Amino acid sequence: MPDDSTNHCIRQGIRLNPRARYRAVGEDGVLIHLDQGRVVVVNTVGLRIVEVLAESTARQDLVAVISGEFRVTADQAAQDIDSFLAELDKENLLESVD
Amino acid sequence: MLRLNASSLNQLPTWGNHAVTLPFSFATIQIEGLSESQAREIHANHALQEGARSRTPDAPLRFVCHARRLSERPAISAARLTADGLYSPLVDDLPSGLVLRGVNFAAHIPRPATKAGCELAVFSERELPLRNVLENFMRVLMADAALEQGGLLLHSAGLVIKGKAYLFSARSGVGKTTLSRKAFESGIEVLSDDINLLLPTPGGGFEAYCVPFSGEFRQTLAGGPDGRYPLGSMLLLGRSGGLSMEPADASSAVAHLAANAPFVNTREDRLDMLLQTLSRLVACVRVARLSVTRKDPIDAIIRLLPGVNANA
Repeated sequence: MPDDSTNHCIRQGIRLNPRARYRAVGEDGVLIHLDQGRVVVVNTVGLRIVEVLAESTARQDLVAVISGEFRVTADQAAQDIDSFLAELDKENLLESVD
Repeated sequence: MLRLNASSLNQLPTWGNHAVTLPFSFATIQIEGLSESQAREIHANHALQEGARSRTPDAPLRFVCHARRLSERPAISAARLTADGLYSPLVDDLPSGLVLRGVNFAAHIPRPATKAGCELAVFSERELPLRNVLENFMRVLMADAALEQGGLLLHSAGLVIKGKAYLFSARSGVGKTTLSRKAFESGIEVLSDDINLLLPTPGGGFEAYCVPFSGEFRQTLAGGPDGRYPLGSMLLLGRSGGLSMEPADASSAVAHLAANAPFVNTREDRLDMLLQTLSRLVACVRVARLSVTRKDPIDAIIRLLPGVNANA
């Protein structure tokens, strides 16, 4: 499991909610909202996106990591990332950064 | 404004010199500093479990709690004490332990709670034995202590079938109480319709313990040789268009159960311990996702359970 999931990064004005934590569970991952006790399961790709999102990285780096590690095109990676982040946003696991 | 911390609570006066020992199968809780009427009321409220508990003097956990007298009521807004539309005490995680604040009580649970005395303070004498005081205090105490022991407190309906416990885990409103009521009416014993305690066994499994916690369906199981039952299987309860059951993968099972582990799933210092416990749990018991509707007969539900035949 990651030692520290409390660092959050800015990616096009979005970052992990400071009250969200993530942990690996087997090959998948779970995101926990500490204020609400809500838990979301993410698959391997989702977990990797969260891990990268929790570090300081630019959008192109995030796309590069996902497309490189999971062997998809940059366009496909960008589309998947945006879709995934929209799901996290619905769960209040992201927040906007001014 | 009442300001609460560990040192202020243990300086408060007690209500008297009476004591009550609650020897549950999972824990012995000794409450000291009670008035005579408080002690009498607590005895009466917990008489149901008395027979089963008297046979289990060696409970896994032991606690001492001091009853204290608050000089004024805790001033907390109702909005701060509501989670998912239900009343829930506020729990502050401090270096000295947990400080609880409810609408009518304050408490301190040291870390670890088994090594030092807990404090439970109320403003009004009659309030201490009330469910929304003593039971809420014990729920938080048990949730934390169980996790320390490698177990957990879980929002779930617990049924005992053929000597084994089957837990149906779900948040409020999904059908735990309805399921429990149906089961009880068909002759099945109910551990609790709301919250159940799991502790690990030396052999690597888990046992479900009789707890004095319940929801709207008040009937709880009083029998059993020592008030604990091997865990048969874990059902992740949900609602759908029809009765169905399918295996649950480990990660989604851990996530579902973590969402239903009250008081510890919102504490950062407990997350890793909670997820490790849940990972062990789903690795050693059968976990399935069970979808039900209010109309499903209990016999049909029971027939679906792993390891239970139609005549259970």
